[in-house]
Amino acid sequence: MIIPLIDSVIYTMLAATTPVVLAALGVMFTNFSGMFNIALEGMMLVSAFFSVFVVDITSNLWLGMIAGIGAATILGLSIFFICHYFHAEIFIVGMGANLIATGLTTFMAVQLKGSSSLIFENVPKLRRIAIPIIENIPILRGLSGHYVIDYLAIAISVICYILVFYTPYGYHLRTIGKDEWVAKTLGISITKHQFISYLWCGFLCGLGGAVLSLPVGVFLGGPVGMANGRGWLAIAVLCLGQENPLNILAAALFIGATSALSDLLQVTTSLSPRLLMALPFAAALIAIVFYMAKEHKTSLGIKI
Amino acid sequence: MGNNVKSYLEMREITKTYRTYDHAVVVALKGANLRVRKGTVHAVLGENGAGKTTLMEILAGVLKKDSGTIYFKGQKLEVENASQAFAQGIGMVHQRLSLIEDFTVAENIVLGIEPTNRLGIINLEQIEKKVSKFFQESGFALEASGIVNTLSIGQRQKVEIMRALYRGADLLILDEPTSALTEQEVQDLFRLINVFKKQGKTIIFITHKIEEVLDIADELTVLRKGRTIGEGQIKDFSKKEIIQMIMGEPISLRIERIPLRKGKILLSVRDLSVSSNGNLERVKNISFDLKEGEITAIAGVSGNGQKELVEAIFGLRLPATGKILVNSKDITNLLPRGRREMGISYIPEDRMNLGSSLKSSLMENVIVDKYYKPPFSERGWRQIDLCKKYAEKLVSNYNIKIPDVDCCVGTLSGGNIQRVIIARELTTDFTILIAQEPTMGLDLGSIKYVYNLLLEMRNEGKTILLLTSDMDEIINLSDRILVMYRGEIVANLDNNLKPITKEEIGEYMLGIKRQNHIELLG
Repeated sequence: MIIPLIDSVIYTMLAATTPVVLAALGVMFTNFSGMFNIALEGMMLVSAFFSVFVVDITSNLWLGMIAGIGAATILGLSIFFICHYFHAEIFIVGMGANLIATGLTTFMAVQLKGSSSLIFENVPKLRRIAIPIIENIPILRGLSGHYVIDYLAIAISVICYILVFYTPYGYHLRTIGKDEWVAKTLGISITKHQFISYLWCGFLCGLGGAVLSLPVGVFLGGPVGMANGRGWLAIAVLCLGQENPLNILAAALFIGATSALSDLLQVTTSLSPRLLMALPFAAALIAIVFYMAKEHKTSLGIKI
Repeated sequence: MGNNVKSYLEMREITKTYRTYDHAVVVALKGANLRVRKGTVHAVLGENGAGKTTLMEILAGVLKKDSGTIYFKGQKLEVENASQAFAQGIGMVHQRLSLIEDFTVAENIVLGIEPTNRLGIINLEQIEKKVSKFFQESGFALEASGIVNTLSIGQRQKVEIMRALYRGADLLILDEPTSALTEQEVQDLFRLINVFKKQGKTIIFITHKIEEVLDIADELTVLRKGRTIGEGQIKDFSKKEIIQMIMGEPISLRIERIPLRKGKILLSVRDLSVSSNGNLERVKNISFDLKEGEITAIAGVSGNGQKELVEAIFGLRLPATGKILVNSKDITNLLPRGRREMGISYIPEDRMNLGSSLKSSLMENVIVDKYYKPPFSERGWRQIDLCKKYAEKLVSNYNIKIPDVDCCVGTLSGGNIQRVIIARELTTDFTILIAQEPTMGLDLGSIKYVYNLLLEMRNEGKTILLLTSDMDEIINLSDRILVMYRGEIVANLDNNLKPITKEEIGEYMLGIKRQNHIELLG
């Protein structure tokens, strides 16, 4: 009885981690480049919509994924260009992008099917991939049977770690993040890196959006939407993980674990499900408060 | 002459205008010329805001010129960014050091040109070995794997010089390299410069200090208000002539200081001990008093606790033990704002981070210590018009070169930023002034001006605690000199009784001599 329960909790945790860690890695790149992108929620939402929409037309999951990534990247690059060429305030533009994403996808969904939420019954769906041997070991079983994007997310976290700490690209990115003046005096192009960071962010949020809609063949529009706050959780995860992709993965796993716990409590207890859905957000908030308190309390040695 | 240029480097008719955020135009260069011969040390001189740094940053690819031509090694030089300038053999060490503090020395040296293996992966150990080897070959002793934030300013500067050389610089530009260094470090730097000269490298040296120019430079170029107004061999000019070229009029730093009768005690420090960030005890059980109408200088080789001491007095650092009293009231547990309200004013050494907010306007910078008090705020409302008028008054009183008080301070030259800070700190109701390197990076005219201001404040009965690495400044200005050595006060010298000499202070600074308890009481 207890073992299958653990299996399912681990399974849910990993599944809940994927979109959050992908978006958090995306915002990490923009944070390094000094143009912090808060439009993760919107980018994931357009990707969730366009990926399932293109799968519906073409019946090809890969094309769907590419469409999702493309849509998120286009939204991301529009933010970049508006801020770079018109000197707009990045947070305002990011907020606008989030609102446009909600409005645009809901509008298109209503125009297409007459409802803000779309259920595509005949589209191919992402298949679960079982890992041989591991799928038969109790407890470890929860690691198996995920979608391709879930496995990709773990691999991407490791690749990002290597990229950030062991390649010239990562050094340049961190240099810009720490002190733009140093980058300038060494001839490291800040604009170029900001542009590339938005490509990264588009790619990662695109994947993160596709993993929401493609496995189920469903798109949920409306004010809450399919991303459902995951983009904001990703920013919390970045706060906890700082500049290290592996720490970001760990922080995302923590958020994933609270999501799994929330799911579990919804099934096993009579607590209000609506309240329980707030658990990951509450956990993120508390974690950040403790983290900040630990890091910054005594920077000048004076207790305030 | 066309391409047929004889000089190693020639910059002709360079112009540059800046545009601030609110589209005001600042003209930095109005057709400046520079000619440098190979293998020489060339001094570039001028007042604050004369355009020296702008001219050099154009050469180093950090800024783009509006017009003008540059010839280097007989070729026309067009550089888009600093990387291309490095590739041409031009390396610059900026006044604001450009190192990433939590990277290692080796990482900083290779930053921008990191060697990788076939897969594009960096091997840090290999880089450290390579950099160590480079250090050894150039006779430079420093741990390649050390983290930069553990190094002194002098060491950091050497890392930057080494970086320029590592990237193959034949022409090395040093922008006010001595302004943050101790006497000893300056001598080290000059030795290094002479070594480079022997190796056939060319050095451009920006400075305000005439003595340094006479010491080390072969040739000079003087800029005034964005134009070149003089150039030639050092030996053809007298010190007086050089100063005259820079200032447009002769100037002397000598000031008249008449001893005052000692007043009452304003600030007392009792048994104060302060630790550094790394928990080393930096100030050991120090006690002293500051009296009305007195300038007290704290002398010492940098790193002997002076910095920690003033930070503790102003409240930037919590003392381990001891008390600080203002007018016999204990302020040990007050925050900096509370201490300001007790009448302490502070000119910090680090003008870019502690002294000013570069992204804020001049107006915001000069009212930041008093915006919440009347008349700047009345019944909870800020009085913007009044603040603006106040800022404009300071701009004209202190001769700050800025197009508009709404311009952000980050667009100003280093010397002008210093004027902004001095204007703010002196135009307030204070009785105690802590002045840390108040004339760092200022030109002669401004230095003279600051000296007179400080003296005026003293004559009004205020007390000034002066922290400076400039020995002449100490001897010229102060009534009393406290010398710190390894966290303790080792000498308490009265400069009014008989004039103290540099050598005398030096013996105490280096720990050769030490006063006994009775002498220390003064």
